[in-house]
Amino acid sequence: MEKEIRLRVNDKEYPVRVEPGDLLMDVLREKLGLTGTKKGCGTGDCGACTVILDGRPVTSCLVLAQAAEDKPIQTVEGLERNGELHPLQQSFIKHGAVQCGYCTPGMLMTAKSILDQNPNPTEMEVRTGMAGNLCRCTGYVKIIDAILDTSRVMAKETL
Amino acid sequence: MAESYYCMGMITAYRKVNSITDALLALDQLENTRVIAGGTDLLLKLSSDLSPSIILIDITGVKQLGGIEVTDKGLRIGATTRMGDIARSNLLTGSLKMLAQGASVVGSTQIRNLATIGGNLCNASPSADTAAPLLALDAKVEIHSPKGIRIINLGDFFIGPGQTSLARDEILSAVLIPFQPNNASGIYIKHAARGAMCLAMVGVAAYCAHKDSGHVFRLALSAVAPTPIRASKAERLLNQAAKVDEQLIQKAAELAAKESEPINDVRASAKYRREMVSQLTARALREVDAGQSVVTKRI
Repeated sequence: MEKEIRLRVNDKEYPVRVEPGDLLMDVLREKLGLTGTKKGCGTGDCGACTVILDGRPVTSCLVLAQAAEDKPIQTVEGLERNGELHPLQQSFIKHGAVQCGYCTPGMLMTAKSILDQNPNPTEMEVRTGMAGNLCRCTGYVKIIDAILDTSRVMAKETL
Repeated sequence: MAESYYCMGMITAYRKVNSITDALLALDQLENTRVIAGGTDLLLKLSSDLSPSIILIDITGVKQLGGIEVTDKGLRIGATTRMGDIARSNLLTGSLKMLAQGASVVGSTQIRNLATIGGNLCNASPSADTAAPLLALDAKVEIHSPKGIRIINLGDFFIGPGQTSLARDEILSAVLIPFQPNNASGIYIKHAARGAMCLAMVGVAAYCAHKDSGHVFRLALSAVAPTPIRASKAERLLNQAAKVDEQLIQKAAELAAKESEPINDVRASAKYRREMVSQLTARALREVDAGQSVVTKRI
């Protein structure tokens, strides 16, 4: 039975009709047209579908859309500010941390939440924090470099 | 709408409740209801079991079921407390840190932000990472039903792989951990193929409290029996000994290995698991005997 709910995504309110079993991942992509969030394994193992829900990164394939109602959601589309890419996005490009790009939105959202909680993480803290995001292309090194570099860049910007 | 990788069409209704009473009422009055919190195990189970129609009652909004608080008896951890919050909690001090350690190695960051301790226990995987630490802390569980509240030892809660003594009309509401001596130590070692996202092949939780009159050891094992277990024979050997030395630790470790009933599965063979119970138990006992409370090295 369909129900209308309100999803707050990237600081915008979206009224949307959902079935009880509809997953947040699918509602974002199919009903809100926000296809930046990717579908990987569908079982919470690969992290491609990662979004930030209520301030914490979660695998949206394991979140029912109705459970996410009225909670702030941030997707990769919400990273840019006034047409400018987020420092993380800029860093990923600079470091060559994007190959096919499929894992990238998930990587960015998890990385952003790590830096939000911990602006100066150690390499180990980044690796542990990112462990739920898989990449089949890059071998991870440049992704880790890009994240650590961003923390340095953002630290400089706040001085 | 395009189909997801797995079809959740069996979920015919979803309802958020604000109180335990409402949750129990829903379980009682409606057909085919299941309680959902984090959903990280349940949603996968529903899709793989090709369940018939099901109504989900979301209990994450029930205040009584959330949060960690200090009571006059010890610590009360609400069933819907997320793994991530348990991992980061500064109320888990001393030997209780091993519960934080267990919670911190469940899945991944994303999973830990959804998964709850109640779900971990009710899913009752023999390898559940919070189980061995809680058993070693002599934890109890609080269960609500229309008939009232019952509190039982965690050891009596698990009855088989994926099976608990929870009845259809009951909800696990909290985990209760009794106060431990300030000088007690606890450690949880998770032995798994990878550093994240893996189920344990072997889980060992060891506890030690030294007193003037002697010492108390507790030892719990996960992933090596139909349920998480206490290695009570090994404990008896340790607790009856006058002096703790390397020889005693080795003997206890071998006894723990004998007490385990591991199986061959996709993750490891029974033989390997039994050997690793012995190795990791010895390692864990050495650490807690020396007063260590945190695993300092990942295997």
